[in-house]
Amino acid sequence: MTLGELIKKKQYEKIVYCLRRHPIIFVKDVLIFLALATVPVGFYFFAKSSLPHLLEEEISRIILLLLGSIYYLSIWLIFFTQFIDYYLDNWIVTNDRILNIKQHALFGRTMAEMDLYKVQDATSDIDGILPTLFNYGNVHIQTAGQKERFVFEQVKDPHKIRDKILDLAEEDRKFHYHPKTR
Amino acid sequence: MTFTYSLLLIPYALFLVVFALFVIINLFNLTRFGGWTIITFWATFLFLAGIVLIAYASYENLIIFDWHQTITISNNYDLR
Repeated sequence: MTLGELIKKKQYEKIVYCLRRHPIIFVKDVLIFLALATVPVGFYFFAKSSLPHLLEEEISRIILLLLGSIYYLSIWLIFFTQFIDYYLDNWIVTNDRILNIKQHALFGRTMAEMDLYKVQDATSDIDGILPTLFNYGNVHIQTAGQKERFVFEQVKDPHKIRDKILDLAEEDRKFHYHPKTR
Repeated sequence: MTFTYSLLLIPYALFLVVFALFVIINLFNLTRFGGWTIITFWATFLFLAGIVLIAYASYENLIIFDWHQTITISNNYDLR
């Protein structure tokens, strides 16, 4: 399925942005995975020095190997699920609307959209050392008479995205008042 | 109580069934909602390669045991 099919793109619609969280956010999951992967190795050296009988008996070796296999398969699966969670969380900006697609672990998925011409205000923020170093942050989008509905979380270049969204909203408003201009 | 080592493979096999189910759901989510891009291709490839690697390492380490051997667990609270 292409992105256009996923969002049921209209004929005149053009995708301007397909946003995800900054890749640095996923690095945290990689580091957690690597730390978890070293736990059985640490346990092996601990058992070798402090509980040698555990590694000498055949039955306990079998049980430890089976548990080790289950452990590694589980953390690999959890790591992949985290990647999917990261990869399938999207914010799509077209010249007509903004779509928020969120994956919640394995079985949850929400899609919401907002017409660009309804956008009244957009604010962006970069807060913290890592966000400043890697230039990522949040973009908050506000519509008239409603509380804040959309937040692009931890996206790259939030200030540039905010400017572009405000420009696109202005363009879309012109189209809604003078439909022949598009 | 006496049982063969191979009995230990039953819970392991049950885990593998549940694991396979989650793998299928994950791959379905990725291909259905992520589309077929170079990133989804490589992510799928690396994920499956990782599973093969872990499965192979487990097999190599477990094949050396005699699974028909029996083990007896003594009844600790039998005081006779």
